[in-house]
This record gives sequence, C-alpha cells and structure tokens, in this order.
Amino acid sequence: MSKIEFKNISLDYRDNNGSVYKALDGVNFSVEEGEFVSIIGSSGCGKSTILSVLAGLNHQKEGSFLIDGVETSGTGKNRGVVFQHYSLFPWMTIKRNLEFGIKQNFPELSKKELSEKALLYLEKVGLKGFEYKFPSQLSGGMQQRAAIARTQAMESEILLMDEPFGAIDAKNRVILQDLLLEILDSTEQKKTIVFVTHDVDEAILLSDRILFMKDKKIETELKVPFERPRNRERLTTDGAYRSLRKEIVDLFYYDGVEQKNEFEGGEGI
Amino acid sequence: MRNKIHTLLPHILFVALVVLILLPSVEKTENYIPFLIVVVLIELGLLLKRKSTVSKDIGIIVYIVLILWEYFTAKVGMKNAMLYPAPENVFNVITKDYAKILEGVGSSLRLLGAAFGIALTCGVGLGLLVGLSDRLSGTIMPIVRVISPIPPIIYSPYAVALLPSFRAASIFVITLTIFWSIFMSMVLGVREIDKKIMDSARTLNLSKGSLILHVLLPYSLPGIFNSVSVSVSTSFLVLTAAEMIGGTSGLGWYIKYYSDFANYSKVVFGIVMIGVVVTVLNVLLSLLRKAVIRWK
Repeated sequence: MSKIEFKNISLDYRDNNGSVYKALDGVNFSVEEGEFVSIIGSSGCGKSTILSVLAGLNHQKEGSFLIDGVETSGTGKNRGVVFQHYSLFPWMTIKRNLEFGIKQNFPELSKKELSEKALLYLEKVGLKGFEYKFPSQLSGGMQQRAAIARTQAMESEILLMDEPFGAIDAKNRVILQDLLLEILDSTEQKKTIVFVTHDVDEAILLSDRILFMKDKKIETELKVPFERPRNRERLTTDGAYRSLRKEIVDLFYYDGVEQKNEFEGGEGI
Repeated sequence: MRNKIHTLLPHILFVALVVLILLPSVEKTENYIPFLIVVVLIELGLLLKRKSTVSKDIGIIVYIVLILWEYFTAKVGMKNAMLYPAPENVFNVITKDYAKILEGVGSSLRLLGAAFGIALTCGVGLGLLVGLSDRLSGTIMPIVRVISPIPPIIYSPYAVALLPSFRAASIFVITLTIFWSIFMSMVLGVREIDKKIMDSARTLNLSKGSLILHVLLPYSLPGIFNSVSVSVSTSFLVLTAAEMIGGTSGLGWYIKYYSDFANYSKVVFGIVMIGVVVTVLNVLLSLLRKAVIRWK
C-alpha cells in the first residue's frame, strides 16, 4: 500500500471575477513510504494546487485522496508543511514558533520539554543563538531553516514543501538544499516528502522520483536513479545526471514555447 | 559658526528668560517660583535631548513664546490684565489649587479609563464574533457603515435623558467614539488576514481558541493600537466637551467653572494641564505599543 495516493483528482478554481478555471484535471500518482517525490512544471501548471490538496487546505471536486489507504480530507497531524513565505508566525520568536508547533502535535509535553525540543531542532539547522529573534529579524534563508526545523520537531510522517527555497538567493539555496539532504539522511525514520519546485537541478538533487506537470495534469514521471547520500559536485559531473537534466529541460522547453501561461505566478490556489 | 549659534541659542534664550523672570514685575504678579521650576524643567529636557536638532528648534520656539508672554504680561503689563494672566499667575495655580486639579485629572481619567475598558472589551469581542462569521459580517457590516459615521457627541442630549446619571451618559458617548474604530479594525484583522498566515495556521491544526488567541488577536493587535492612538485625542475632545456641558468635576468642568468667574489664570492653567495629560497618555501608549508589538 502506498503512503499517499491521488486517484483521478480534479479541482476547479474560481478567480476574483467569478470565472472558473480547471486547477487540476484528473491527477493520478502515488508516493511510497520514505520516498522523496518532486513535482515540477511551469507556473500555473497546478503543482502548488496538488500540494494544497495534500496539506488539506483545498478539497478535490472529484477523485479520491488516500493516506495509508484511508480517504483523507482536511489538515492533519501526519502532515507538516513548509511554504515559500510565512510558514512562521511573525509575532512569535523563532523558538516560540517551534514550541507552539510542537505543542499542537504533543500536547502532553511540559514547558521545559517543549523548550528543550525546540532548542534541539534549532541547533540541527544551525540557528543556535537566534532563538529569541523574530522572523522579520532573520534572512529569508534563516526563516526557512526555522520552518524546516519546526516540521522536523513536530515529527509528522509526511513533509510537504511548496517551493521552500524559491525566494532564496542562489548561494543560500545551495546551502539549504545541502542542509535538507543532510537532515533527511541523518533521521532514522525516513520521511515521505512531496516537494514542489520549478528548479530542475534542485529536483534531481533531492528526489527519488520527479513528476512533470503540464496543463493541470501529470504528464511524465521520471526516476532519479542516483545513490544516497548524494554529493552535489560528483552528481553534476555525472553523464547520467546531465542526460536526465536535459530530458527535463526539454519537457519545459516544449511546454513553455507552445503556449503562454494563463495565470503567471498563480501559486496560491 | 552658524552651527554653534544654533546650539547655543536655546540656552541663551533660557538665561534671558530666567533673568527676565527675576526682574521686578508689575503689581499683582504672584510668586514666580512655580513658573521658574517649569522653565528649568524645560531646560533639563533640552539638555537631555541636546543631540537632536529638532529639540533645539522646539526649544527656541518655546522660549521665544515664553519670553514674549512674560515680557508683555508681567513686565510691561497689559491694559486688560485679567484677560491676559502672567505666566507666574498661571503656574502659581498649582500651589493654590493643587487638590482640585488632581481631583479633576483623576475624574477625567476615570471616565476615560471606563470608556476605553468597555470599548476595548466590546470592540475586540464583537469584532471577533462578527469577523469569524461570513453571515454575521455580511449582515452587520452594511448597518455599521451607516451608523458608525454619526458623530457620537450628537447622542449626548439623548443619552443624558436616557441614562440614570450624567457620568453614565458621558461614559456611553466616549465609549462610542472609541468603539467603532476598534471594532472595525478587529473585524478587518479577522476577515482580511494574510491568506498565507491563515494557511500556515490551518496546517498546524489549531483549535478555534488557539487560532483566536495566538493568531487572529496578535495579527489584529497593531491595527487595534492604531485605532486607540487615534482615539485618545478625539475621546479627550468628547470628554472635556461633556464635562463642560454638564459635569461637576474633571478638567473640562474646571475650565468652564473658572471662566464663569473670569479667573483666567485658572482657565489657562486648565488648558495647559489638558495638553500635559493628553501628551502623557500618548507617550505611555507608544511605550506600551513598543513593549507589546516587538515583532515589527
């Protein structure tokens, strides 16, 4: 049984003028336990909508969404989400953000235990010394570190990430990708991860499988056959890496030239 | 050179003012010590803020006004001395009327405190209630948009007739002046919360209580603070007007009472006191804001 299953899921999206668009059109895929799957595609292809259904923020009109074989709707403790922006509450310090999140999943923990757990996970993402800063006092990259630390500390089995490094500069994005790889490799209980991105290299580096989306559907599925732990430098000089990369870029190229996207940057569906 | 003059000018004016105060005054000028203390306090304030250019400019203007006031009333003597009290006489009121002033300030602040307490509780509570329900806000908000622009002071004659005491009527009218803006900013805070923050809150599976206490309230807090800051001055306007019309205590009453007796030293002192009280309230409010809203 797969960890996550999407069976023929469709969803409509109504914009501010009342016009109805198709946001997802018969999406089928499954994710195995402990697997890292990236969803990739141009803006407006529906990749963020898939994530919002997975997170329980959106409900499909048709089809069924199963976790561990059970029909699921709404949010749940088994899923943790990192968004591109505002995963953290601006009015709480970094540490308090973690404590608050942990408390929702582990209400039985004492104040002291919450604090210890928060500090432990902040240290893992290199934010020791920044516990009492507010998110606005940290760089975008540090905010995303804290958001990742929170989902780790909340110990959800499924981690959903919606272009988490999309707004980070190139240098810090590389650092964060390596950090994420390191965290994932170091945890004993392998998490199931769905990661939305439009960055081809990021998708290959991180995932076991890549789903390429076009026109609100999943068009192509590609296996990423590289061994873990992965090393960025070794990987990028590998011939197999380059041919996989070319294959995906070609998919983008034929997708992008033929038609213009209907709603540019329509991530927030 | 010009810089030096600019730096020294407020202090030169201070010395000139002190010398002027110490020179012999016209008849009926009272004890100058309270006025002198006020001037020295101003100078101390300037010395504390000596790094800022703005405070120098403010100091220059304040001293020039005080010198002119002192010169024309206490030294030259105005023809109509009763209408233009000397600063000595105005500030000397504190030594004579100490108890009454304090009681007046206290009475005004109690009214204001009661009104703010009621307005905050009802505004935040009802704002949450209306904001959280699509149906309620759809129904209530159009009605609110009709009622809220009516200036609350208009209700005062009716409120006096309707409510048991003048005090209750004043509290009602002052509460209304503050209530609407707090209510509106709370409803807006709940209705128009950033979708990304709301999504993030939903993925944490918060209970309704937690959502209100830890997400909606802090998100709306800056807006509520803005409403309150804007309301302080307006509410003082309504408060003092109410006291002047029908009060038996408070600063508004004090000013009205003594202008009936043509005691303009006390009238001017009352006006100065209102300025002081409003300023102190505003300063306290901005300190509170800094302490509470640390994330901005």
